[in-house]
Parts: sequence; C-alpha cells; structure tokens
Amino acid sequence: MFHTIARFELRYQVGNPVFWVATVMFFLLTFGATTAESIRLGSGGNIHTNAPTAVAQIQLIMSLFFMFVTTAFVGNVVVRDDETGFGSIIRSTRIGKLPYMFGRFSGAFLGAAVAFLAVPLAIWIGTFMPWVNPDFLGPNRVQDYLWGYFVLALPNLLITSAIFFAVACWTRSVTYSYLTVILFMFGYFALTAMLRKWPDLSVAAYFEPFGSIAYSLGIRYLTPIQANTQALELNALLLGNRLLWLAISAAIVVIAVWRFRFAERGVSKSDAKRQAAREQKLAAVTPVIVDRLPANTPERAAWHQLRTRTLFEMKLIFKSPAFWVLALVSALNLFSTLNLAGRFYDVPMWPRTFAIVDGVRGASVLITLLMAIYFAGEVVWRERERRFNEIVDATPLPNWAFLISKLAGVAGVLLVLCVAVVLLESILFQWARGLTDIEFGQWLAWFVAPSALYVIQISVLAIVVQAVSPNKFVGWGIMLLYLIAGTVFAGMGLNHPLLNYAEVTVPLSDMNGANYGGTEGWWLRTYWTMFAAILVVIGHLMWRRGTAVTLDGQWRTLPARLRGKPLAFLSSALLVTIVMAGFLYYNMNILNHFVSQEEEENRLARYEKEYSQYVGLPQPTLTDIKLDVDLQPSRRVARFDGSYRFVNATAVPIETLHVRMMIPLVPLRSVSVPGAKLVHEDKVNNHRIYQFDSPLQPGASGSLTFQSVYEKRGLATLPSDKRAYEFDAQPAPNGAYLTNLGFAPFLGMNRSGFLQGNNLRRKYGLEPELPTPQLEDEAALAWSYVGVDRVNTDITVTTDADQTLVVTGARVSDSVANGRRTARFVSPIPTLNFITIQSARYDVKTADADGVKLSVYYFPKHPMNIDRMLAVMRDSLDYYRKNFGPYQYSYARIIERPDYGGGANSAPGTVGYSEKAGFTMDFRDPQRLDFLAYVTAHELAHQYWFHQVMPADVQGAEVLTETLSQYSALMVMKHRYGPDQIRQFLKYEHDYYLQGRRKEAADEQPLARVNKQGYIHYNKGSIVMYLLQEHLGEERVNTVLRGLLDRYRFKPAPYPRSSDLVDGLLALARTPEERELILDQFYRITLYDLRAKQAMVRSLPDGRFETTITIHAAKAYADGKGNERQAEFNEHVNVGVFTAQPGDSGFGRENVVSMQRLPIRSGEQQIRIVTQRKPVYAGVDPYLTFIDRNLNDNVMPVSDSRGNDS
Amino acid sequence: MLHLKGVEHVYPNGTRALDGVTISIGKGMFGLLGPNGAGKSSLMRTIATLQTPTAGEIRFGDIDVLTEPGRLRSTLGYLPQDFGVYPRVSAYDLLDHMASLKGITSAADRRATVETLLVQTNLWNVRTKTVAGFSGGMRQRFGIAQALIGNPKLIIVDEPTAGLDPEERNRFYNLLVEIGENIVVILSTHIVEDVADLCPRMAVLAAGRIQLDGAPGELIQRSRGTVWATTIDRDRLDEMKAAYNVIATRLFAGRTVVHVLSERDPGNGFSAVEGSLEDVYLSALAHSRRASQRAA
Repeated sequence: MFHTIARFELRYQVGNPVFWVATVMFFLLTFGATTAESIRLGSGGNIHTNAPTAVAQIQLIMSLFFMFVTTAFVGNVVVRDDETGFGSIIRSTRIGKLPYMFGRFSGAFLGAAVAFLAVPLAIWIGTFMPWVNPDFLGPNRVQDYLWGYFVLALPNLLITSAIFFAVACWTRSVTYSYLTVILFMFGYFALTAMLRKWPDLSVAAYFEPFGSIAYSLGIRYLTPIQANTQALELNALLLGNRLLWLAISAAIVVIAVWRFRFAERGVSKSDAKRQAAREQKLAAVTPVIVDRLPANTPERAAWHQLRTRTLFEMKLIFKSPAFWVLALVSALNLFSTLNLAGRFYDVPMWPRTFAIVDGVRGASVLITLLMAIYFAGEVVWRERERRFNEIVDATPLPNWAFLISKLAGVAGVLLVLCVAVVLLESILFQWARGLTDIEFGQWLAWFVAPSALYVIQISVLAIVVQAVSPNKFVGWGIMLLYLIAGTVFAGMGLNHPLLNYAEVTVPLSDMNGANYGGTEGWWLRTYWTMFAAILVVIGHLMWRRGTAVTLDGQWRTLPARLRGKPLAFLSSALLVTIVMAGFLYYNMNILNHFVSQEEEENRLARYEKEYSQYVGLPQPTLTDIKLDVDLQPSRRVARFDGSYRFVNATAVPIETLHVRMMIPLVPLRSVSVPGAKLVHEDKVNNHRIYQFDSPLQPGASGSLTFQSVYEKRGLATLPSDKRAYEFDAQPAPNGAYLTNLGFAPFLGMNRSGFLQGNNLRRKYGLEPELPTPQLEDEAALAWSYVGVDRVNTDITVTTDADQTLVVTGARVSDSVANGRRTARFVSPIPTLNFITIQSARYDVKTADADGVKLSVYYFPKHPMNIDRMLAVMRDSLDYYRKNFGPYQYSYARIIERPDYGGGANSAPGTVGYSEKAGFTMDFRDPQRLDFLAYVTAHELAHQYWFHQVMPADVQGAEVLTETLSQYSALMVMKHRYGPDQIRQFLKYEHDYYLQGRRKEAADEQPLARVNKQGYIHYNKGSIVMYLLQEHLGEERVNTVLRGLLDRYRFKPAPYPRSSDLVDGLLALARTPEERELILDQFYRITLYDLRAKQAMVRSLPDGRFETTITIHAAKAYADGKGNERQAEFNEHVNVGVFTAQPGDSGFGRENVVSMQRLPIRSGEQQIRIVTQRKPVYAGVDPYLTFIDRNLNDNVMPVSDSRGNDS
Repeated sequence: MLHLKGVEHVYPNGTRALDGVTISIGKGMFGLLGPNGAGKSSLMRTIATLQTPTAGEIRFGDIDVLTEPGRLRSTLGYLPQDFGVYPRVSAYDLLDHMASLKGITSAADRRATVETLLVQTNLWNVRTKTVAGFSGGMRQRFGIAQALIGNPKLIIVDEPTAGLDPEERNRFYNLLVEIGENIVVILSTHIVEDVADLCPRMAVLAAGRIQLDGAPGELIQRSRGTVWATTIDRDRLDEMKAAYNVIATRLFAGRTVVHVLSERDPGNGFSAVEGSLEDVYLSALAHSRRASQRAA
C-alpha cells in the first residue's frame, strides 16, 4: 500500500507543472551562476568552477533556495485533497493514515530529489560550454558531484521537506506553508549571522540545520590548490550535523503524522459557551430601522468613496496573515541590520542617524519591494479572485477611483509599515543604545520624505504593472524583471540616474549633511514622481471594469477614453517629466561630466597606449611648493594658485617636462614654465608636455606656476564608483578635504593611474601589469615605494571665518579679516608630497605630550572618543620616541572628515579619520577590542614607517610600512591593555590571514616578498611580529628597528627593503632554532598545528597538582598555490595551565596558574606541570602566537585522573 | 421603463451570446426564463453596464445606458449569478462598505440603511459573522440586501435561487415581491415555477433571442389546444420522437409520459393537456431549436 501511494505521488509530482518549472528554473539559475564569468558562484579567483568545493558549495546554496520548491511539493500533499474535496473520499477508503501520509510524503520528497538533480547536471553541462574560460576548469569527477548531492543537498531537501510537510499538515493551507518558508528563510539567515559570531563555531555548526557552517569550517582555510584537487571528506563535525538534523526531521515527520487527524475538528465546550455569550450580547442591540431607505447621492460621493475604498483596502491587507508575516520579518531584519551596522572587529558604533539611515533604508526598501509586489498582485486581482467584481463594478464608483484606491491602499499600508514603523523602531533603537539627542530633522529629510516618495513610486509601478498584465502571475513576473533590471542595467553601463526608476542615492554625513548630492536627490525624486503620475494615468485608462473587457480592447479604445481630463493630466505630467529630464540631462551630462565606468576605462586604456612611451624618461625632482588657496566652502568653490620649484637631480640633461593631472576632470589653467614652451596639450587627459628652450642641466633648477579651480556647476550625478565620492564631494561646505592629488599637477610620467587588474587590461588590449621588481633587484632600490618627492611646502588658505583650517605643515599664522579666515602653514622639514587642506566648523581638543602638541579636530557632536584618541596618541608617541627615535614634528593631529567612503589615513604629522572610522565607534563595553586605539597607534606609527623610512619599490615594501606599523601598534596595545586584548586581536588576524589566502587570485607570497597583499602584510604581519618579539625579546627587536631608522631616516635612494629588517632580526638569533624561526616567518609560508589532545590532573601527596598534557605539534610549508609539505617542528612554545579559559571574558593574569616556554617537537608528547593551584584548563600556545588553522584546540579543559597509577 | 433594441453581443472567440434582443420592460417583476447558455447572464450584465454590447441600444427612463453608464449605476441594484465575498469581513462592515460605494455619504444614513436591510433580510443576528462563512441562502439574502441600498429603480437578479432549499427560496422571493411593486425588477432564471409564482410579465430567451414574451397567464391561454400527452412504454420513445414534435418526456409510475406539440389532435392515444407555463416554455425552446436546426 505504501509503495503504491508513494509511486502514485511521485508520478503525480513529476507530471505537475511545478516540477518542470522548478527543474528548468534551477537548471538555468545554476547554469548561469556557474558559467557567467562575473558570477562564478562557489568558485572565483584560482578556484575552479567545478572544483570539489565549488560543486559542493553550489549544491549547498541551491538546496537552501530549493526550499520554496520543496514546499510546493510536500505542501500540497495533504492540502490538495482538502481543496479538491477528494480528501473525504480517500479517507473513507480502507487506506490507513500511516501508509497514506508516509507514502505521500515519500513520493513528494522523491519528486523534489529528482528535480534537484538539475543543479549538479547544470554544473556538469556548464563545464562544456565554449565560452567558459578553460583556466577556470578542472577535471570533472563524479564523486565530487555525488558528495555534494548526497552529503549536502539531499539531507537538506529532506529537512525542508519534513519541516514544511509538518507545517502544511498543521495549517492545512499552502499559503501558510509559503509564509512559513519566508519566515523560516529570514529566521535562518538571522540565526546563521548570529551563529557565525559565536566564539566556538564547531558548537554553532550543530545549531545550523543545513550544514553550511559545518561545511565551511571544513573548507574555510583550504588554499586554492587544495580546494581544486582534494576530494572533500565527511568529517566528524559535518557527519554529526547531518545525522542530528536527519534525526530531527524524522521526528518532525513522525509528529506531524501522529498529530494529523483525518476528520475535521469540532468546537470545544468553552468555545461554544463564549460564542453563546457573544450572540446574546449581539441580540441585545436594537437596530435602527427606517421605513424608507435613505437615497444615495453618488454624484457628490467621489471623495467619500475613494477614502472608504482606500481604508477598506488597507484594512484587508492589515487583516491578511501575509502582511503580519512580512511585517514581523521586516522588523527582525531591521533589528539585525541596526545591530550589525558599522561593526568592525566586532566593535559597534554609535547609531547616529547619518550612519544608520542607509542601512535602515536598505532594510525598508527590501521590504517595500517585496510587499508592494506581492500586495499589488493581491489587491488588483482581489475582486476577480473573490468573484466580487461584478458587484463592485456595477456600483456608481467613478472609474478613476478603482486604480487610485488600490494604489492608495497599498501605498498607505507601506507608509505605515516601511516608513512609520521603521522610523519608530530605528529611533527606539537609537534611544536604547543611549543616543538621546534624536535628530528628527535628519530623520525627516533623510528618511521619512525620501522613503515616502519611494514607497509611492514603487506602489504605482507595482499596481500599474498589475493593471496592464493579463493576470497576477505575469504582473509578478514583470516586477521580478524590474528587480533584476537595475543590476543588469548597471552591468550594461546604463547607470544614468535618469534611467533607473525611483533609485536615488544621497551620501549622508553628520558634518556635511546632505550637501553632497542632496539637491540632485530631490530633483530626481520629483522627476520620478512625475513619471509615476504618467504611469497612473496609463494604469487608470487600462483598468478593466466590467466582465467582457480585455487588455487588447482597452488598448484599442485607449485614445477614445483619453479625451478630457485624462489627456490634460497625462499631457501635463508628460510635459513636466520631459522638461525635467531635459533639464537634468543638460545639467548632468553637458554642464558636468557624466562618465560611465566603461568610458572611463576606455579613456585610461587609450591614455596608457599613447603615453606609456614616456615612462622612465628622466624628469626633474620637485623641491618646493607654494600654494595660495581661495576656499569658499558655502559657494562650493576653491581656487588654487601654485608655484613649483624643481631641480634636475639626475645625471643627464632633461629636455622635456611632463605636467599631468592625476584626475583629469579638474581643469588646469594658465600653466607656465619659464624657459620652456608648450609642445603638446591633451585636454581630455589633462596632460601637457613642455620643451625646455635649452635642456635642464644636472643640478639646474626651474619653476612652474599653475592655477586650478574646483567648481560645482548646476546638478551633477554621483560617480558610479563609490570610491570617487570623497574626491567628487569637494569642496564640501563643512568638512572640505582637498588633496593635491586632485588640484595640483604632477611632474613627470610614471605608471600610476593606469588601468589595474589583468582581466580588465586584457579586455582593452593592454599588456599585463608590470610585475613588482624582485626583492633581489638592486637597480630597483633607486625608486621609492610611493614615488613622490620630499618637498618644502608653504601654503596659505583663505576660508569662511567660522571654519577652522588644518593644512599640511606647521601653523605659522591664522587671522580673520572681512569675514574670511586666512592661515599659513609651512612644512618644518621636507615632507612627502601629500598635501591636505581641511576646513570645517571644528571643535578642537589639545594635549601636550612632552613637547608635542596633540590636537583632535572634530565635529562638535562627535566628542565620544576624543579623550581616548589623545591618550592613545600620547601612549604611542611615548613608546615610539623611547624605542624608535625622535618624532619629526612638534604637532600631531587627528582630523575628522565627512564619511564619503574614506577610512583612516596618515599624512605628514596628521592622522585622518572619516566620521564612521573612529569618531563614532562605541567603546562603552570594555570587553571589546579597542580597535580605535589600535588604528590610531598604527597610523601614528606611519610617521616613522613611511614618513621617516620610505622603502624601495620592490617586493616586500609593505613589510617596512604596514607590518612595522602593525607591530608598533601591537606594542602600544600590549602596554596599554596587556596580552589578553592582544590574544583577541590575534584571533581576528589569524582569521583574516587564513581567509585572505583562500581568496588569493595570484600566488601567496612569503611575508618578505609580499606584493600589495593586505592579508599578508597586515594580518600575517601582526602575528609574525608578535611571535618574534615574544621569542627574541621586545627590547632587542626594537633595537633592530631603531637601527633601521637611523640608517634610512629621510634618506634618498638607495631605499631600504624588507631583507634589511630580516637581516637585522637574524643578527639577534641566539640559536639555529631562532634563526630558522625567523626565516620561516619571512621567507617561507609556514603553517603550524598545535593541539592539546588530552589534559589530566592528579593531586600529589604534598598537596600540589600535577597536570599531564598531551600535545600534538606539526609544521608545514606551503607554496604560493597552497601545496603543502610537512616539516620538522622544533620550537620553544608556551605551555600553560589556567583556572579559566584564555579568551573568555574576565580572563586575567590571576587565572594563569603556570606558563612556561618549553621545547616542543613534531608529533605527540606529554608534558607534566606541577602547580600549587589546581588548574581547570591547560594548553599549548594559549595566546595564539603561531599561525594555526584551528585555534580552538590549543586549550582544553583539564579532567581529573582517577587513581594513582599514572 | 427599460427598453432594449437590437442588442447584440459577440464575444472575442466568436460566440454570439445575444442576437438582436429587443424588449420593453415596465415596472414590477419581470421574469427572464431560459435554459443554461441561452445568454441570460450576458443580457443581465449588459443591462448592468458590465459589458458593452456589440450593437444595439439600451434605455432606462431618460438614461441612455450605453453612453451614460454612471447614471444607470446610480440607480441600479445588481445581484450577479455567482458572487463571492472578501475574506475576514463581517456582513455589517461589508454592507456598510457597499453603502459607501453606492454613494451614501452620511454615516447616519448608512447606519439606517445597513441596519434596516440586515433586519429585512433576517441577517441581523449574524451581522458580525464573516460573509465568507455564510450558507448559500444567507449569502443570497446578503446579496439582495446590497442590491437594495439607495432605493434603486432597477434591480437585476441573476439566477438567485440556485442551490437554495425550498424554504430559503421562499423567504428570498417574499423579499423580492415586497420591493418589486414600484420599480423594475428583472429576475433571470431557468426555473419555470419561479416565474410562474412571481412575475406578472415574462420572456423566454434562447439562443440569444427573445423567443416570446407576455404575461404568463396570457401565454398559457394562447398555448391551449396545442399540447397533447400520452403514456407509452419506454421502448417506444424513439418512435414517438420521430413521429411527433416532442417537447417533454417524464416518467410516471415506470412508464413514460410524452408531451407533443401539435396544432391538431394527433390521435394515436393522445389527449389534450391543460397547458402549463412549463409547456409554454418548453414549446418555445423546441421552436428555437428547430429554427436553429433549419438555419444550420
């Protein structure tokens, strides 16, 4: 019986259109996601499209989305019999409940399992497609496909089948099952986001039903080569997860079947009683009865009808369960968005309005789109579906009220949910997080008004699309196309704001408000609102009132019905839209430059082809810069008058001078070079070539004067690349941040500014990028890493009187006259040619650190972390001056600037922070890593490791700039907070380094040869330098650094390289073991595996405790692709016993019972430690100083050993 | 009051649902009788402004229905053949909503309308229940309640008694009769009894055409002497059908009673039948069938 039913069910499902639609859809999805080079789901970088990990990952991801299909399969198993009325027939036959239910379930599940085969099939077929780059493919191995299908996909299908089968049995409604899926999806994503933050992921892995955490734990540190070649194994964690959840799903099915009743439920006694009471109450009311019914006055009722109808639509939506499910989901989603917003190294931020509005809008937009699309379909087709259309259509409701009331109903609901409720929730969140000065003005201008318009525009689109669609599903389909259209358009380069319906982006800032892009934003919103008005007229005219009205018929008779008011309305909306489009186009494309990504790439490619011939020509060196800057922030204008002095520092005469603007949009005016004439002027690329009348002899000098202007004309588009916002926003009315990169010309020609990325370069027919010179390339030591000269600067800036100026150099004068402030800044010593000019209404707080004036220039509403910054600056300078040498300026500044995507940076004597980086981090929880202190110390360290010592432009240059700044900051942190915060920090560094390896698209380099690979020079660098100072001694390491500084401080070529540092460290080595340790860190990619396998404690007769720890140690060397070979481990490593787990909150020095550095060798060994106190935890390398892929197994709980036999 | 002239309706798929309907309907109950598929609902919807005829003219009093549908809707009560309702809305709220849609703007007027109608249709005690949960009869009574809002001058009820038990049907008709005195009420049905019981005037619609119209009594009178009956064994039915114009057969005590149409006494055991409205109706249908067969 079971088999018959199951077989029947499978046949039924396979014959169902849902089966084929799902199969085709998932085939296409997978096929597209794996064969499109821009997507390459599950792979990317050097990982093959059909690598074992990719094949598994795709099936894992698809199996999650497949739950919508599974639900359709199992959901209607029970429900369909109720709906067709066939249920009572079946249930009256001899078929028992168990075979019926289990048979049905099995059949439906098998149907889903068969349909899912489309996914592995699509990957496999995709590998044969001619357009797939063969570099991205490896051999197809059947077992990889089977592994993903049977280990990941099939159990997941079973789990979702079980859950939604149970839901369908319980609710007996397909709709509720679907709503549960949506809820489940959001819940699932929220849960995983939360679980991934757990300290011990191996525990979290069990709570996650689909094995994605367990799976990713297994593969997260695989290098590309391992990911491509190693067959995946079913490790204990994944197996445990699968078994646990299979058991849970089996239990769910059993409970669902057990609870399922064939018969309908009756009414309980208490229900009956309550009902009787209610009826009595109802009967007690006396109705108003009239002899003659009141007459109607429909000709005067239009507004009343519209209002009633709108409220009625809203009420119906509010009453629908779908609304509540979506509303709940949106509230949860918003909460998690708010909670996770702006976290960096898990440090939360102060939820200031400007900082969270984007996230809040993102969350609200998502739910707006979902709800508008879903409810537009429901609302427009409601009367027809409910067969109430004839009654309503025959009432004297005016024609226009049909569309308008539906529209107002949907928009009204969304205004309540996506604007009012979201606003309330966000403000409550701010309040709860201690932000009491809620800025209602900002909320109104940045969220309420824009979102309200957006909601209306999207509702119009969704409703009108439904009104012109033959049925609800086509309407939904069209709206889904709209959803992906934005992405597709952007991919095609169609990212002009006049093309993307309702999309308006305005970058926000506390300092600068919505001054950047705000006006344009309002123009665009008005434009799209007028466009929506056109849609409304069309929707109204296409509305099908009555029973025999077809789309086709409406379309044919449209001109006739257009006459009169609709025409007047339509033509005025059309006129306004067109005029606005023309006006905006004129402003954006003619007055200003609108450059699509592709056009800009094209220009760069052509520029490189034309000008790369000049790279390497001898060029003069810049020595002095004098600038006069007229800054008018409120008018958004800045004028620069500059003069350069340069000298021929080469050994040959120089014939030509190249004068180049790095950002060619800023026009350079009236350049003059005395003694030279302009021989080539390229206005597109802003590149000029001057020929000296007589060649500039070695040692001879010359001069150049120029003028340039920043000026905003009319309304401009935002750059398509967000990284360009910061430059494009200048001069900002409050918080101007002008760098010479933007406003001043560069002399000479080099490769900077050329198109980057080899794929992109290939597309435009350019040679692959020039490789960074080898570490051993002595000739390359003549070129500095940044390629800018050290210059004397003398800068005078005039700005609005109420603004404070901070400019590169020491402040020489500062005065106010005629409502204008003028200040002059002169560099005390030649500094790297990075000039910044900042002007804003700042508050300033200063402190003194042994003769150095520390100042923080900040926005008055961001005083939260100022004292912390000053204290860290003092700590840092103390440490650096004591251990590294003198600090070169009499001042050190931290300057805040508006958040347009920039982060932290270091200019001469200055650390720059954007609003979100640093100033608004929230450190009220002392358990959090003080990341601000870390970054501040790091950026200040650059005053030594960049501004004093500049490396040569060879491999490993970042070791001397970034790794040493990381080290310096770590030392400041160690003295400030002790080793516990360091442990917390190193844990992040391990994770970022190991994940960075995985994403590597080229070769991983050893640290000393790092080639602009952040995960190596920042994250691995921190771990390495911390380990070395632990083993070689902090003081001794600092001696080496001091030596390096003494030798290279401010010196011209030859510049230092990473091997200078390594050689210095090698000189410290006291044993061959230490020497190897250093070489392992810098010249090899070394990975360690340190593990505590067992820890037992027993009491000794003298009252002390003896802990026996079994330690496993291993070491491996990896090549650039991740191939590993084992090596001998032979190091001194810390072994400790504790009364608390290192890394737990509250762990402190007092919890360390014993910590000794002991020799450890490859393989297993037992260590005995005798202590006075009884330990609870024991382990090896508890502070995580060796690079180790599993940090969770270094320390383990100690168990009591029974008896005295050991 | 209501005049239709040459009303035709051809659906996009070519079905000719109405084929030149011309008829005048005065105050009082008017029965429109016809088999399923005769075009009754098409005609009702056309009058109710829900579909525009392909050709023809419709006037109600001084209203040209086709050019001023809004004016007709202001004074129209329409109960479609088959209607559903919104989920999760009570009878009271839905009726109140309908009152608004019909243009009763004052809250007091709406209250009087809704409560009077709920009492009149005997739904007062269940006013807070959702209409979706109503039985067929309750739902039809709700339907007539909404049709009565605002004192319409034209009420169209399309097949209102399908699926009602005799008691419910009775209650429903009492309601209709009460209101049908001073206004035009068109009742479309395929049940002869309904028309016989209620309507002073009637018409038979078949194949999209009015086959006959007049007062039921008059029509019966006219048919006197043309309908004949005999009782035969079942196996002789085919023979009878071949020989006579059979308009109806029914079983009685195991044998078959055959009604035939004939201007003269067909002899052969037939005896004259005291004509009923049913015979009138059936003979009209037989005529129409024949006409269409000839045309084909």
